[in-house]
Amino acid sequence: MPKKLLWMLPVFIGLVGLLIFSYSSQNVGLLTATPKAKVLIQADQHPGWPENKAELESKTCRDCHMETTPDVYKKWASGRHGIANVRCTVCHGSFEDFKSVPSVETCRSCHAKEYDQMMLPEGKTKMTCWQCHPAHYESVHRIDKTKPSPFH
Amino acid sequence: MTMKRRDFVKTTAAAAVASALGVSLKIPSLGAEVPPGEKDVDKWVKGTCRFCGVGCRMYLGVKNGKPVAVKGVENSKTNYGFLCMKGFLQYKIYNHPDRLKYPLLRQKNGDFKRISWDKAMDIMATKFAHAIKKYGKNSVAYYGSGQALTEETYLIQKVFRAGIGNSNVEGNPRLCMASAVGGYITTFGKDEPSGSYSDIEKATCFFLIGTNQAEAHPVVFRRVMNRKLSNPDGVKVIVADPRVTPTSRIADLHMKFLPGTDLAVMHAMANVIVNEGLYNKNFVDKFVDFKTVKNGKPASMTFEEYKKFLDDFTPEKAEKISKCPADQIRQAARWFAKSSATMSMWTMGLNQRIRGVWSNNLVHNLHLLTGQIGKPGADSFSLTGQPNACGGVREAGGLCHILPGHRLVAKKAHREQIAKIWKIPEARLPKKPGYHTVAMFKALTDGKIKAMLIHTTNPAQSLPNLTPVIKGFKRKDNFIVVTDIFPTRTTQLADLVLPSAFLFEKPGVYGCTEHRSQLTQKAVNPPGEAREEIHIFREFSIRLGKKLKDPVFTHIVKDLKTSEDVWNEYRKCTKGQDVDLWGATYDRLKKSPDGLQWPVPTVTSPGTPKRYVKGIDPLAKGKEWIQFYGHPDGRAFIWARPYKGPAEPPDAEYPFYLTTVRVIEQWHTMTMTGRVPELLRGFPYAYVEINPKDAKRMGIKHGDMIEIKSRRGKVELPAKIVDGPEEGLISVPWHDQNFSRMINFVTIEAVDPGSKEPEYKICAVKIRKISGPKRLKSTTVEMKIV
Repeated sequence: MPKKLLWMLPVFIGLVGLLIFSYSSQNVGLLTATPKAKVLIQADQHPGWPENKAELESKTCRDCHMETTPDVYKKWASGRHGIANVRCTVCHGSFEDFKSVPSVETCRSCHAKEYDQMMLPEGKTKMTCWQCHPAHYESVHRIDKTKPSPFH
Repeated sequence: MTMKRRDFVKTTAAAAVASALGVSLKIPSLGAEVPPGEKDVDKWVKGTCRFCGVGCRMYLGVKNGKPVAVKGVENSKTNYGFLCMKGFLQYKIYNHPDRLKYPLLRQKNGDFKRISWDKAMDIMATKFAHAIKKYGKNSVAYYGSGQALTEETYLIQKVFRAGIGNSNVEGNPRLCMASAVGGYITTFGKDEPSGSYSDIEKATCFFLIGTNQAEAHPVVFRRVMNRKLSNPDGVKVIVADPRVTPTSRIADLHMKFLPGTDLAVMHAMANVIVNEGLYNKNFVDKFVDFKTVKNGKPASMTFEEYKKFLDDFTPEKAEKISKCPADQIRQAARWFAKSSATMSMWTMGLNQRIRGVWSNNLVHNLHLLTGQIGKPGADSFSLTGQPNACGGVREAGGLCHILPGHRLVAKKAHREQIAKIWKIPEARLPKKPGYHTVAMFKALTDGKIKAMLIHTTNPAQSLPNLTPVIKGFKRKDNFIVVTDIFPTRTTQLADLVLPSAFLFEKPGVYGCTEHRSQLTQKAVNPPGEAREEIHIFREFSIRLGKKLKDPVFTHIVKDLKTSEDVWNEYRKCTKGQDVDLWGATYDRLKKSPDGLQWPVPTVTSPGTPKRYVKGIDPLAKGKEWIQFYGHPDGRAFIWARPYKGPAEPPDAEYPFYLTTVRVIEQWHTMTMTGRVPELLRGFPYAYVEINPKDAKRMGIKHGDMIEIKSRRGKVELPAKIVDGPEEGLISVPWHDQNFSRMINFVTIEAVDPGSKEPEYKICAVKIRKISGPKRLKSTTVEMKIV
């Protein structure tokens, strides 16, 4: 950063502070995994698999999920992952290795810098990406998109 | 790695905020190759993605000597860390149980038997020597690939040209970008695009014609998408395609036109630009010549003559030919000409045409007329489909008419330059081009080729009009050697199968679309007895020389023991050429996150993101700011090409257009991607896309089984009713390995007379419903090994 811009640093810090404060106050409990997620992690098997193997194998994810989980489908399809064709199996695997909640290492494949440089609160050794970036939306909380994110 | 100043300031800022809020953040080490806590990986090894021509840089994560993960290289200028789903999952290919591990010889009953490498190499040399002695040197051929490393293509073409003395050296890039080569050469005098991906972030108008880049080049599309979404009003995206595709999702204007009428549409855009005075007079006066063909030879014409030529292509006349609305043509032309920087991109939609070279010329015409080239964000930028079609095949002599370093077989001066580097008499080199791809496989069918080496490609599935091609493979009087990593439709028909090392199992260079060469380092050992191809080719040359009692075969390969040796000799061939890689040493390539863009004439040269522009391109030494130095006077050509439709338009008997397409999950003949379960789930088998109006008219419902028949062959596919293809057009992904679904039994082998590239994109078919929905299974090719 050139020296003449250093005066902006306090302003920047202030803005970031405001952002974190407003964000965490709106989303109490955001930084801890919800009990629901934990349950999902333990029961990692796609419904109907493997008993309906033949039927499931003749379909793509979208064939069913446009109807069974229309909300998720819509969010995904209109989000950046949808437009850029990052499809279901990329994160959730196929039936053989299905994960209803993927590991954070899955995100690393494309977002290596964010994975490497994720800032963790005291006492935490691990956080998931979707604790801040809701899954299927991939929204990014950045006031000024011309500046790099302060969190990674 | 050290922490960058910006990172440091950023980190400090965040920590300060956090402490002010009473939260303390743990700051991991920035940019370390294996961050602490990353337990699933022992090391990350840098390289290039194995699939399309974008050239995404990635790390392969290795644990206990096995690939276990992939992540993008964040500071690479090709992909900035992003990967598509194929790139993302490619680590699963390495340890797949289907990997070919031992040389396999076909037995009389058709089974394959494991043999030793010594025996395999001896048989191969014997068969080639026998063919050369009995039938002459023109009876042997090599068919390679835009997926082979540059070192591999360079070495084997040297064995064929300097050793055997023929130029039957071809490769599958003939099927995908030969028309782009023809277009660049005829317009600019030099092959390959001038700009870079970095133009995407500066462009304010995109003209995407004949490209479904959202699926075929996803990471380039991500950049275009980002550019559009972050400037929704300031950036215009024009998609021109007979089919609405996922690429159209970001389009301001989708121009649908009938397949094969692209020449009329683009001439009409030029007509609007000229008649509405939207052309850049200053640029045209200084840097452009107008050309036509008279009596079979190029002839100059004036701007006025060109303008008169365009009278035949008013938007209304073009609408009659193409069905593309005249208003859309006008709108597209105005956006194209008036934007501050326009970037065009295209792929197979223009190239796989019997007038692919002309279509390419017409895109360049638009850029030259409007001066939308050379300035930041403006370029006429052809995308490439394979990771090393540009670097290995186009640049290193991998086609029947070219020699390494963008030289021509037919030019004596070029042959002399190469003979000098190879330290052989010029008389040993072939003086004429050999068979081009379609002619090569016809020669195989006709029994003229007796021994053939096929490397890293699958012609028994990928060539057009497969029935006669497969007949050629099945002849008893030829011997076909195939190198690959998995069983394919081609290895099934081979006489000898040689298991090869995969990417990251050997070091080597890939050169991507934007004249960028990037090194992949070795990360793991190949499985079983699989070998690096340069070792196979070197030994083949030595053994063949012994059988033919010709010492030259040993002489030409004796100093080429490693891929770095081969690269260093190839660098010599590029020295002083437009594709100058003299400064791109392995050392430099190893250190760089994203390789180097040629020309790189010296070891201190930073590389060239924008060719022809003074101050950026070291070869632009003249007075003007832009110099098309491919032509002596520095001027590029605008071509007045006549209109020409497809080779086989629909008629009463075969009323539909068929076009072959790609999906994001699979790549080429899905020999690799089809073995990754997640990718197979997304696309288990091919289907035929039918417009809802056609489906309704014919009583076809989603999932019904449809027979598609052309004058050459037929397939059976489930129907997918979708408002993608225009009425009267059906589209079929060409990846499927199942015989009853391989669409290349239906496609046509008509080629462009200039580029010899086949017209995969258009042929005439009839369709009929044969049954209701059927449960289908994906097919993965197997081989019976005893």
